[in-house]
Order: sequence, then C-alpha cells, then structure tokens
Amino acid sequence: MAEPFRGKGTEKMKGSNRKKGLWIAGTLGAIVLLSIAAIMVGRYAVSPRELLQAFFPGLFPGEEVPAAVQNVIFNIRIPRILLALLAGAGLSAAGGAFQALFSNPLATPDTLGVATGASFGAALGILLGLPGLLVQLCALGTGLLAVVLVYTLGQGKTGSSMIMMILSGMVISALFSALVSLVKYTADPQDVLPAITFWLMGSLTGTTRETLFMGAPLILLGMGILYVLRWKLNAMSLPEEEAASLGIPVKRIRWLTILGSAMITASVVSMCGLIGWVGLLIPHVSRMLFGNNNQSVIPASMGFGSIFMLVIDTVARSATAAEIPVSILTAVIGAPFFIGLLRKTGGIRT
Amino acid sequence: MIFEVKEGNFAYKQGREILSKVSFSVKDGQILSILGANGAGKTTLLRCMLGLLPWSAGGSYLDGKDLRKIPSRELWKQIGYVPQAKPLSFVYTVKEMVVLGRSAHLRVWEQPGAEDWAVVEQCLKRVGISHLQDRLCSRISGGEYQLVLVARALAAKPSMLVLDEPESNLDFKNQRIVLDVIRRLCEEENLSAVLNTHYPEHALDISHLSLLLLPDGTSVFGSASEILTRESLEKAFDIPVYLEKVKIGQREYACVFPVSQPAEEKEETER
Repeated sequence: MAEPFRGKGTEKMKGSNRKKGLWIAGTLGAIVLLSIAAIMVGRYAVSPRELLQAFFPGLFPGEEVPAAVQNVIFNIRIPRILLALLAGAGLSAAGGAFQALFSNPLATPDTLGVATGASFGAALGILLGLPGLLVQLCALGTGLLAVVLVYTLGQGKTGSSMIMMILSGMVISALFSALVSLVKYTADPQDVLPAITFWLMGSLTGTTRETLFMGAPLILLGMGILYVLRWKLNAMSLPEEEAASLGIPVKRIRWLTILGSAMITASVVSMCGLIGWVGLLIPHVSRMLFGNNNQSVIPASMGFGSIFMLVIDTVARSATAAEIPVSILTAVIGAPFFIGLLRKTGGIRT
Repeated sequence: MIFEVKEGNFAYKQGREILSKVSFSVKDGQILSILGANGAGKTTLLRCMLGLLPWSAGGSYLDGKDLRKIPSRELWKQIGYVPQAKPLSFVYTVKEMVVLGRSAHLRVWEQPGAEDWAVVEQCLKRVGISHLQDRLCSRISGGEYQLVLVARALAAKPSMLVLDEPESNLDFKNQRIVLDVIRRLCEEENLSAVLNTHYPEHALDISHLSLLLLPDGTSVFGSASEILTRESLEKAFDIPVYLEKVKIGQREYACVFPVSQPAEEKEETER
C-alpha cells in the first residue's frame, strides 16, 4: 500500500515543481525584458544601439554616447524603473499578507491607515515648501506613526482582537484623511494645491537616485520579512485560537507582518504617492492562478506586482504628452484585466 | 503522559462561576468525554484546560508540570487540538491544511520540508483520507473535513488529542467513522483523548472516563459507565431520561434519549 501512494505523490510533486520553475523563470525573464524595453521607451526615445553603448562603452570603438542619453538612462529611467518594480512588488506582497492576516479578501495595504498617514505627512511637507527628500521623510514618519497609533489603540483590555485593530485602522485613517483635507484647504490654490493633488494621485515622476536610496531599503526589508513569514500566513488566516493551538506564536507573527507591510507601504507612499488597486488586485490574480497557499501567493504577488507596476508606469509617462497619474491607470487598466481573469479562472478557490 | 486538571475554577470578570472545582485526570490510551447541557461550560472547560483561557483558580498539569510553565511550542507538540469546523475565508487543499499541524515543530522563519510532508502523508493514511490530499477543503464532505482536522492535530505527533464536539453536525454514518478513528488511535497508538460531546451514547460507547458538568458549575468525574447513569443525566440535563443497553455482536451499545414531560406533570414538578 505504501509504495504506490508514495510513488504517485512524488511524481505529482515533480510535475508541479517543473511548472513552478517555468513560472519563476518566465516571470523573472519578463521583468528583465520589460525593464530593458522600458529604458528605451519614452518621450526621449533611446535606440537599442545607444543602450548597448551606454552599458558597454567598449563595444563600438570610436563612437561616443551623448551625455544627454547617458543622463536619461542612468539618472532618470533606471531609478524610475527600479522604483516601479519595487513599489509594485512591495504593495502586492503587503496586500496579500494583510488579506491573510485579517482573513479578509478585501484587505489592502492601507487597511491600517498607513497610506493615509503617509499622505498627510507628504501633503504637510509640500505645504511647508520642504525639499523633496524631507517631504519623503515626513511621509515615512507619519505613515509609521499611523500604524503605531492603530496598534496601540487596537490593544483592548482582553488583548488585541483583529476587529479592534481594523476598527482603529479605520478611525486613524479617517482622522488622517481629514487632516489631509485640512492641509489642502489651507494650501495656495495657485501652485501648492495642484502639487498636493497631483502627488496624491500617485506618480513616479520625481524619482532620483537619492530618493530611491532612501526608500528602497525599507521596502526590501519589509518584503524580506513577508517572504520569510509566507507559510505562517496560512495559519494566521485561521481563527486566532486555532492558530495558537497549532503552536504558532500568533502575537509575534501578527506584529512582524504588520511591521513589514507598514514599512513597505509608508515607504512607497512617501516616494510615489497613493497608488490604489495594486495591493488588492495582484494578490487575487496570484490566488486565481496558484491557489490560496501563501507560500506561492506572496512570491507570485511580488513578481506580478512588479511587472504590472512597470507596465503602468511606462504607459503613464509615455502614452500622452503630459504624464497620467498612476492611480487612474491602475484602475483603468487593472479593472478590465481583473474581470477577464475572473471570468477565465472562475475566481479564487472557495 | 498524564494530563490533570486540579480544582479548576472559571468565572468571567463579573458574573457567576461557570466552572467550579473541576478535577480530572487522563492517562495514555484513555478516552475522556465531557458532557453537559448547552451553556454548562463544555467549550469553556476545553479552552481553560488548554490554557487558551486562563483559569480563575486551580490549574492544568502535564506529567505534574503546570501548563502555564510549559513554552507554547513544547506544549503543542504534546497536545493536538481539533476545533469545531468553521468556514474559512481562504480555502486550502487538504494537504496544505494538514501540514499546518507541523507548526509547533518549525521555527518562526522555517517552512515545511520533505520530512514534514512525509508526516502529512502518514497522518492522512492513519485517518484513512489519503485519496483526498489534493482536494480543496471546501469540496469534501463535513465528515471528511472533520478527519482532515484530526489529521492536522496528529501531524504535531502529540500524545493527547483534545476534540471539541468532533461528531456534531455530522450524519450518523460519519459520526460512527469519526468516533471509530478516535477509538482506533487510542487503542492502537496509545494516544489519550479528551472530547466534548452532546451524545451520552457516544460517550458510553467509546470512552473509559467521563466528566459530567452540572448546571450549578460543579461536576462529577469517574468511569464512564458509573457516571453516565439515568439519574445523573436527569440531574445534568434537567429532563426525564430513558437509558437502555443493547448488545449487538460482541459490543454493548447504549440507547439514551430524553422523554417529553406531559404539560400537567411538568407544572407539578415545578411546584
């Protein structure tokens, strides 16, 4: 009896491993190819020859790459592409993790008010006329402050329940969005108000190497935490007592997951404003394709999220003469794509 | 392994005592069933004895050691808990669900490896649901799902199982299957089991020991056949009870049911 069972199991496992390998290779390949394409596309088109020259100066002897091209490639396009990849991967992973943690398919990275908190900091920074890096720091600070407030408020007398946590998240979120409105109300409608509004709609325009160096480590660290905890998230989606009875340190994992997601979200919002949809949509795309096991949902969300964000941002900066806010595109491109996938796969597995 | 509860009391902050001086002990290979009316505190007792809810007084002991002093990962390697089946927002496959039972053996940053999957295969086989391993938990019957939860508890390699109404909400064939699995595990593998049940006949059928919770919060503990008598069931459930033993083949079964009281008679007893 033992043999056929074992044989069948491992054979199946081999097949699924091969499929997994193909998906990983395909996703990584797509990220690289699309990134290279994204370097060339834009209002200032870069030819493949110029790109090769810029990367490998010795390849075409005697030809010199114009400084303007060098500048576009290394100071503008590459930082921006890296940010798009990181932001997409981070927001999607954070959304997926929150959905499992709150066992609620509607949770988003902003469920605990981090993004609203960060936008208040940014709006305030813009109102005060601070330089870009300080605006970013301000946003990061208020974003993390929001999650600390939520976590403290969520600790009821009988310990923290998820409902209390979500409720205090909503309260803090409402509070900060009122503060954002207050800032907008006091802002000069000639120049400051449009700047705030445009920033709130999400844009990767201002990315420089400096902003990237400041924000990227937090996103990477947060993603690392979520990646390491990905299997535990399966247990975290069970009722709390059930998870505890499996020997899971529920409090510690909850705290770490919230910390990781908050680091990602606050950092992304501080660099490129509010980007909706990605954190909700991409994890569900991953679930439709690979099932609800967070061991695959988290890495798949990172891969698909970065591709999605890269495509969106490239369209945003090159489709029209003026840049289109990212949040508008994520919804306009995301919604039909999501509906198509929903029809094709029959939704997430229930 | 010996599991004991000594003089356990429980009361919510304000309000009457729900459990009062509950004591019992279970050894390897023994099955203890807990009976009591709705609201008598059966589930509360399970949660208290496992430390999921703090005792107001008294305590639980594992081989003489206070449960509160055992680190949680150590504790849940020795005790497997089978909760009541609840609908989940995210549905996993049977295999993915059962491997969660390995959590107590893995550190925070670890993922299940080949060894853990081998344990999963073995546990599925022990409860007889190997053929379901790749199915979604929502696409199998209630009885099969209950066995998945038992397999998940077994995956921790515990020496005691604690089951919260394992056979409620199942039809009688599936009740039989679940009860037989529990009995077989205790007889063949020398596991002990503590279970809540609404059915005195199930308690009489599979358990060696029984704890009957009375409406005033006190309880009686002893061998199942001595505790679960007509008189004590009538006291615990506050209704006339009919109890008869039937021998079928080698085994003796109990037939227990409540008898309705005619209206006038009821008034008289109340007076």
